[in-house]
Amino acid sequence: MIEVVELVKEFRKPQPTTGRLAGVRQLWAPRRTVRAVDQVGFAVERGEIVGYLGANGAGKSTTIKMLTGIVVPTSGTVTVNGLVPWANRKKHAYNIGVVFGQKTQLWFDLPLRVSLETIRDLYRIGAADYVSRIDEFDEVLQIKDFMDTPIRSLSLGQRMRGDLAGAMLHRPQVLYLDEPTVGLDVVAKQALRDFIAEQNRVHSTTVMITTHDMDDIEQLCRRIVLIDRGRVVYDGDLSSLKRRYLPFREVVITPGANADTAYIGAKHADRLENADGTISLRFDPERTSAAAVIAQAASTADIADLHVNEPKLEDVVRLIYAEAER
Amino acid sequence: MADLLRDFRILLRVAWLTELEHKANFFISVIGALAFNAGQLLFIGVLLNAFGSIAGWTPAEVMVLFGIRMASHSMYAFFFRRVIDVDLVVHTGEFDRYLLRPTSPFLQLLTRRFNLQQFGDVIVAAAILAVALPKASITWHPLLALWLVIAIGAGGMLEGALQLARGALAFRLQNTQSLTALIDTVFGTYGNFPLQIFGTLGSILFTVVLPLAFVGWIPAAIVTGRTDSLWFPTWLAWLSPAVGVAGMAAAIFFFTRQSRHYSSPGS
Repeated sequence: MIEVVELVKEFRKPQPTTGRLAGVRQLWAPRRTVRAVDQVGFAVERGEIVGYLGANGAGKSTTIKMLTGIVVPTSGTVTVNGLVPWANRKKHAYNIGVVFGQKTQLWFDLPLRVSLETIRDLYRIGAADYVSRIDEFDEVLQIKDFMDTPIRSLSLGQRMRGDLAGAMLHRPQVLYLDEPTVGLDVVAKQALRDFIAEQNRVHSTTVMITTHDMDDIEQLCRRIVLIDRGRVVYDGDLSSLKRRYLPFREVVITPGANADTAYIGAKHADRLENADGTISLRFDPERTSAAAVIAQAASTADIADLHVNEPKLEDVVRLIYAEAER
Repeated sequence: MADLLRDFRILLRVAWLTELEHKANFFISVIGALAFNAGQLLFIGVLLNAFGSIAGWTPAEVMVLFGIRMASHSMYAFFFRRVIDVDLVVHTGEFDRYLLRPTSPFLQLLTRRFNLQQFGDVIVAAAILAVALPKASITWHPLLALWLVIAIGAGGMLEGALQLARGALAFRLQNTQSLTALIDTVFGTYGNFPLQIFGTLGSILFTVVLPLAFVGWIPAAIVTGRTDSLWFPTWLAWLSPAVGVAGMAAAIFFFTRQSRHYSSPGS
């Protein structure tokens, strides 16, 4: 559905000029080149949900903007459903839906209803389809509650639900979401995720999402593309990413009141004593199992409580970003 | 083309509804436009009273020139005024939306607001022409009337083309607003006079470099039969509306090409 090959975007930014006739002098202001996206390549199949991750300024949004046809690449190719986004702009528009968390695609001063009707008319959506889709969207997004409120008066959560309805109204095959849940409360986030998951399940909508919210990723994405300083540093499924960057799992043991903990510490497990009195046993699941670590601890000391820490994507991302900083 | 007209109607409805959200704007805009144009008219009136005529043109002929320039400007304001918003649309990222929708970005730009001030301009232009045309001794002919209508439309296109070309620079440059004011000022200030008062060099400059001759001076010279004031042959003057039409076509092409450099702000 989406094919990206050796995609590059460089921005040439003029140094700002000020003062007398700044607008004219700007014409020959010196320029510098910034490479925002550097040889990015991946392919996305129909019906996939892909998390496109990276730190601020890594080049996520610029990539999305090239995929949507907003920005023209410096070099490399993009095809979405066989079309080059910026060259076949109008045809391509029917294939994609776009939601930017930071800015609305709707008409700011007018009620949501007018925006949706205008989208209906511009995309030549039939009256019956329009009604049935609004009904369908309303079940998860509850947009009918604020159809007659101007966009500018909506809460952020309502606005995002409205934007999502607007983006999916013409039933595009691909949905791009750029930080859709930023600033939303838990309930609104969940409504958005449920909607995205349902559109994907029912209509096989291909979804590409950028986010800093790890719950978005854990709940929605089976596949992750990680980008850093304009380059793809990881492309694969979520569990292998965790395995690669967080090869260790942890058993955390809370010893009993007067337990002698000196002998706790299984083979192939590193022992760490935590400030709260608990003991962490960090082990490589390839070499030993959680069961073996727990059995050893239980046989040597009285244990009040224990739990196993699964690796979190958040930690993975923190690790990768820290690596990138260095 | 039919598709484009249908989209135009759809977008115009949204623009009109947006304007209704700010009703007070309507009256302020119309009154503002009337006051501004009345001020200009008064200034020329004073000049004419003091000197009787300007560079050989009678007061009525100068009024016809002023009326044609105003009419051209109101055509520009009516259809193309939003081209001055390119900077805003580019720097706020509103242009993202235009590129994502299955219709012309240029059309979406023109219809982003419904400019109410244009009604004020149209009223003033019509009033001036209604007074001035009968006073100037014009030998009317149906073809001349038709030509005048075309010339006024083409004049509006030319002013729109210059502003659009200027706006298109915003895709690559950060601050081009001073050029908007420059074009507005040059047209609004010098466009109201028979250009021969600036001498041959001046009138060549205002025809070739800053082409404001096409929005007032040339059409007025044709209509009032004062082609003796022009620095080029009369037959060329008859063809002058082509410049506005070609200029607009070139400007739209330039705008479309420059829009490929759009970098879309923010994340």
